[in-house]
Amino acid sequence: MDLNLIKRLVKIVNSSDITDLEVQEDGLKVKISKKIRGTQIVTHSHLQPAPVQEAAKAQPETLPAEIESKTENQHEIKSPIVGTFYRAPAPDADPYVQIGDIVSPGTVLCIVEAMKLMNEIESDVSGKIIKILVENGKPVEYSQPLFLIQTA
Amino acid sequence: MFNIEVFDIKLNTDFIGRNFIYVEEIDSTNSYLLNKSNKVKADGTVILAEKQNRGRGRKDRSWYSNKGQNLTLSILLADKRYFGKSLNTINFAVSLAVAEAIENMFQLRTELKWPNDVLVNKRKIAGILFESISAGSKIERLVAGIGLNVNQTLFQGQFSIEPTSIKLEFGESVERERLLADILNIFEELLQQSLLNPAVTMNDWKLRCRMIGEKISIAEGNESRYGIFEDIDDDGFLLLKSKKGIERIHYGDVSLR
Repeated sequence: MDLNLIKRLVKIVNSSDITDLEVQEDGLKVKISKKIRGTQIVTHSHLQPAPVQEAAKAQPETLPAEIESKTENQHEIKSPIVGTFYRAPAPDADPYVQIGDIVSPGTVLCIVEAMKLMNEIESDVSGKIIKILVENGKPVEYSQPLFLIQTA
Repeated sequence: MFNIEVFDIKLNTDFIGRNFIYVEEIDSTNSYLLNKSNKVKADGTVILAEKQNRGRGRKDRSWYSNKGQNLTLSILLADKRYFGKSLNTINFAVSLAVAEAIENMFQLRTELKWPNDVLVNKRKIAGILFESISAGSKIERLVAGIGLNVNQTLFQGQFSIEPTSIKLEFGESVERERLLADILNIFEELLQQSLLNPAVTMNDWKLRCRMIGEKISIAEGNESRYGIFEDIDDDGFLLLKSKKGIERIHYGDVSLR
């Protein structure tokens, strides 16, 4: 069997949009398929000590708080990506902001990291930080509320 | 010094690198493009610096590079189309473009280490730092920073992965201008592909990721996780298989066990 031939065929399939390729030559039949198989996700967690419980608890805990406390003059900052929430630029540095701090548009609030994409989140309003809804180093979901800012 | 004319002749892109900023010395090329007050807006703007005084990696780790010997640059990605579901794939497209350019020009066998390091002979030849700024809940600016060791042969300090350079692996000094043009040419193609057909980009990336199927540990802070590197899913998450089942991991330093 010519391994190089198969390697070349795999390369052709990989670099194109086709998902299946079948070639027959001198009694040799090669079939290449790149159906992306469904992966079973058993848990959805991150590098935390007790990930399963935490992930399950996170949602119900933050949601009622948000409904209870968010009033007209309060502005929510939500995560634009799935990732890990950091309150400081480096492990040994001071947090960007604390509860009670006055912020204005452009003030850096936190970083959310995913796959080495460091996403720095700035405030888009002026006001006072009244709640920090996620603990440093915890995973956050897309659109999960991170900060509550009192705007007036 | 870097010859911009030579670079320009080799550049075949439509927009990546068409707005090109060259500086001798700067704090950090990523910081420059992320800073709105510098008023750089054109999608695909590239800034190349001969020396960075505060070159950075993940979590403010430092990136040192000798003046004039390597490629340290950043690319501004300003089109809103990048900020959606393709965002993670574009992150992978950057390291893939660097790996493909090195292979094309020097026939060196590259390896990609999740999430975005480029290795040759198990040593780190390039690092990528992807950064963005959000105003409130919306991403506004996205910058891909690339540090590629080209003609430097001595590296001082302590490294989690031993560094190497193209000169060390290829055996002679090489032309940085052509290499940079090639990286940008390939990246522009991969960027389009990542928007239209992210699965193809991910697949090409996975072909160079030699850790899939191996026993690995993932360290973050003081914690480590162990298991088998099962696969990378469509969103770029590492799938770690252990007794607990399969976990989706999106950060941490991966090493073979």
